[in-house]
Amino acid sequence: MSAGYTLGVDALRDALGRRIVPVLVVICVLSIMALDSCTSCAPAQIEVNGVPQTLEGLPGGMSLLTLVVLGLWVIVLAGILSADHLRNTLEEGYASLALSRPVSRTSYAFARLAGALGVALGVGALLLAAASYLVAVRAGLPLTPVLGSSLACVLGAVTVGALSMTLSLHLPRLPSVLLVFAAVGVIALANLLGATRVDPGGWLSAIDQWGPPLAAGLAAPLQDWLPADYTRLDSGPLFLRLLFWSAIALFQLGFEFRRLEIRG
Amino acid sequence: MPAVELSGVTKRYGVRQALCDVNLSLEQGSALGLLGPNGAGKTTALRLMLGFARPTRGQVRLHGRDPADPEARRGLGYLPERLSLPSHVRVRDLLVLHAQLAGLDGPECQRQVEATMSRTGVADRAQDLLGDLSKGLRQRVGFAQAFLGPPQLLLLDEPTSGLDPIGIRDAREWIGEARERGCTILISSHILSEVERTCDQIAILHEGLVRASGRFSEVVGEGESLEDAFVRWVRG
Repeated sequence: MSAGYTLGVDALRDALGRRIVPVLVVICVLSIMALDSCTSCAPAQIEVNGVPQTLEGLPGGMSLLTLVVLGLWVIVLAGILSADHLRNTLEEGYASLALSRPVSRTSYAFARLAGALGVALGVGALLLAAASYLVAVRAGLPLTPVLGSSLACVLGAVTVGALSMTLSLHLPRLPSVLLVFAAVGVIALANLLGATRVDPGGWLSAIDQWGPPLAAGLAAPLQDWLPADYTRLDSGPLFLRLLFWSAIALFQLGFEFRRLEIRG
Repeated sequence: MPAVELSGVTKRYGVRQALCDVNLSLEQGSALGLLGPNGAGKTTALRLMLGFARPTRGQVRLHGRDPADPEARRGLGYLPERLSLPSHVRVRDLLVLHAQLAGLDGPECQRQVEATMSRTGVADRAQDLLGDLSKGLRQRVGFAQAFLGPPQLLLLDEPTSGLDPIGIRDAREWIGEARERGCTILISSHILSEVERTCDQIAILHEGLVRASGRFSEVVGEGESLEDAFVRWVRG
């Protein structure tokens, strides 16, 4: 049994024992109740200049929006949980015992990240499964696009979790968590403006084009739920960019943790 | 090849110099007591040996390897000065985790965990949460995790801290048994009698400098107590 696996299991057990987990369970139940409402849209009938029209894209659009919001919530959760899952063990001093063993710093940091991601993605799997079930039953939408969106969610969670854990090596927990909220919010806004072809210009445009496409990556595979004449995001380059950012974030976490001096 | 070697090691934290040009060598199977007043640099020296910090200048080696290399720490047991254990974890689970990290697996892992718990007097508390244990019992668990492997090199920082007189005597026995197995031991301590009873060499650190090192007879004068010698070397 490798040290990384042993530490990963320990980190997951540690994450599951945290006080935030019962809160997450309650949030999950409330979210599923909210999903019940968000996925009950039917094609709407409206009149434009006295001519009746059917908004065929409404169920697909609402379903897409619901899954993107859920995905972003899972990504934020990964950032919040990661913000102290490594830092705590350093502050409390548990890390020094494990790191006196033949364990690499990188293995230790990645194991702690895996523990935090285990909880965040577990919650995410539950929520996305519930949402997908409701979408399939109520709107009759195909579920294949959810797989692509889930993959984007995993990559986004790895990216934000690893960056948040790296930040937490230098910042206290609260600023790290606030930065996670701010960063995910700004990226989602930049992606939204980019997807609607509104050029925000300046740094928002740069974030949309070069930053981790957290919201765009979640939305792109789900576009099949929209009518054909809607704007198309190209999934392939978005996935590659997310993959690149998760690799960068993991590398940065390993690099920073190897450089860190640990209290004995 | 020495089990532990510090060559010309200097460690600075900003403008503060914690260690200055320290040279120490510990042969396999020997036991060194690292003595010094508070802030002398003892814990910093241990941190460097564990790879927790890097020297500003000089070189640290464990069995010829850089301690930052995980393989250098294979066969190492460590008991920190401020032992902190996760309060929500059970005694046995913590020891199984550390046995696995030390490279043990399957029945051998279980056998060693049981034997070590029994030897360190925590077997009847195996299912207890670490947070429910007294300071003395937690220190015993600290010893238990350090003895898993079993180690070829033991780094013990103030090992008897929190132990009652019986615990101190037990700890001395465990360290003696480790020595008999050929384990190399480095004890950092304020308690001179503890070092005198368990080690065959001493090094006296003061203000980051090694003031004296060698066998007891080389450091302690004829008819002089270790305490008198310690004061003489520290005060100059």
